[in-house]
Amino acid sequence: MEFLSLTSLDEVLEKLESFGADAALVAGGTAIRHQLVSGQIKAKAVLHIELIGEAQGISSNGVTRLGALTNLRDIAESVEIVKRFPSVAQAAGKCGGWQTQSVATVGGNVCGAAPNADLLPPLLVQDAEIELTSRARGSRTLALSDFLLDAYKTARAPDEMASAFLMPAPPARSADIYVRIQRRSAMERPIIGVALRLTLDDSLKKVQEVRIAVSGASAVAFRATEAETLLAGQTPSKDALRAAADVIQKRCTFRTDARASASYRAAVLPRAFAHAVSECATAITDISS
Amino acid sequence: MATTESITATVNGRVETFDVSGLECLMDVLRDKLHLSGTKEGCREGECGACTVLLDGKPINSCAYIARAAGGREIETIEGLQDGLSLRIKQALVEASGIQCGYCTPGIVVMLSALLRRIETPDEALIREALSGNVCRCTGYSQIVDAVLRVVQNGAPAA
Repeated sequence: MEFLSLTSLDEVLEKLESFGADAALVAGGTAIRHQLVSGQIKAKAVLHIELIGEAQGISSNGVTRLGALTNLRDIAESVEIVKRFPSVAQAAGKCGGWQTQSVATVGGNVCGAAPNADLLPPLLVQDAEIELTSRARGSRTLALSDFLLDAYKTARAPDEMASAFLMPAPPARSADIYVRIQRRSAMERPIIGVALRLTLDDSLKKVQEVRIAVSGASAVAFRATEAETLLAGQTPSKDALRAAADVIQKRCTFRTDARASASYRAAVLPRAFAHAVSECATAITDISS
Repeated sequence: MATTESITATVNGRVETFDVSGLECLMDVLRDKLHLSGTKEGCREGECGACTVLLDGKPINSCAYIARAAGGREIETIEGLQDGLSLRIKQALVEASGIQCGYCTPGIVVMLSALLRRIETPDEALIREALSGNVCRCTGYSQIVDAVLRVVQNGAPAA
C-alpha cells in the first residue's frame, strides 16, 4: 500500500486519475482508518488530503460555500454557519468529541455515507449541492439527495474528489434544527437524527415550507418529501404532525442494532420530529416578534 | 504488505525521526518508538480521549490518527506540556481531587491545555463540552470541572 501526503488539489486529481477505484481519500482518517485497517475498505493507495487549503474554509456570496475539507470543529464554531445554518453547526458539534472534530471533515462524513452520518440530515434540509472535481471533466455539482445512493454508496466517480458544499441562503421566517436521539450526551452516534427547516407564512401560524431529513432510520439519510408536501399550507397542529410522522415512518426501514431496536426507533422518531417542529416554530416567532 | 517509511516530525520541540509502517497509529509510535508513554491507550478507536495529543496545536485522538500523516508537523504530548498554564491545570487537578486512578489524566490535561490556550475564561458549559471526548470512570467529572474553574478564576494566563 502506498501512502501519499498531498498538498494541492491538482496533485490529488492527478493521483485519482491514475489510481481510480484503488485509491482511498483520507483527511483526518477518524472513520476511514478503521475501515482500511479492518479491510472493510480496500485500497492500493491512500491519499492524505487533510492539508489541501483549496478545499478548506467557509465563504459566502449569497450562496454559502463550505470547503469539503473544513473540519467539524471549525464548522461548529463558524459564526457564519451558526447564524445562517444552525442545524449544520449543531450536527458538527455533536459528531464525536473535540479530538475527533479537530480533524474529521464534512467531506469525509458525507462521502463515508454511513447510515447515521450526522452531517447528512442538516445538509439535506438546506438543499445543499455537492461539488465534485476531476481532472478529466472539471467540476460538476449534484444535489446531495442524488449523491447518496445507499449505505456507504455515493455517486462519486473514482476519479473525483468532493471539493465543496453549496448552500443557498434560507428565506425569511425560517429556522432549522438538528435533533439527535442518543443513549448518552457525548461520544455517541445517533440512534435517530432528524434535521428540520421550517418556514412559516406571514401570519406565523401556517407552514409555508418544511424540509425534513432523517438519518439512522434507513440505509442512508433521506428527505421525507411526502411528509413535507402534506404539511405545506397546514397549521402545525398535533394531528397534522401525527399524520406527517406516519408518512415519514412508512418511508423508513428501521434497523435493530447494538444501540436500539427497530421498534424503539419507530417509537421515538415522531417525538423527535414534533420536538423539532416546535423548537423551530418558537425560534421563528421569537425572532419575528 | 505494509511498507515502512522514515518520518520526521517535531515532538515536544525536538525534531524526531522514526520509522512507521502501513497505517500505524500515532499513539503506537509515540509510546513504543519514542518511549513517550504518558500518552495512554484506552479504547483504541477514538472514543475515550486517553491518547489525546496536540497536532499543530489541535487536540486529536492519537490512536485514531495515521502516524505518517503527522510527518513534518508539530506534536505535543503530556511530557512536553511544561508551560505555566499546563502546570496550573495539573496543580488544580490535584487540589480539586480531579485525579483518582490517573489513567485519563494525561489526556485531560492535554485537552484542557488546548481549550485554555484558545479560550481564557470558558464557562462551565463550554468546559463540559470540551471534555465530552474524555472518559473518566473515577471522578464523575465534577471535580475535574471544579479544577478548571479554579484555573479560570485564579486568573492570569500562562506565565
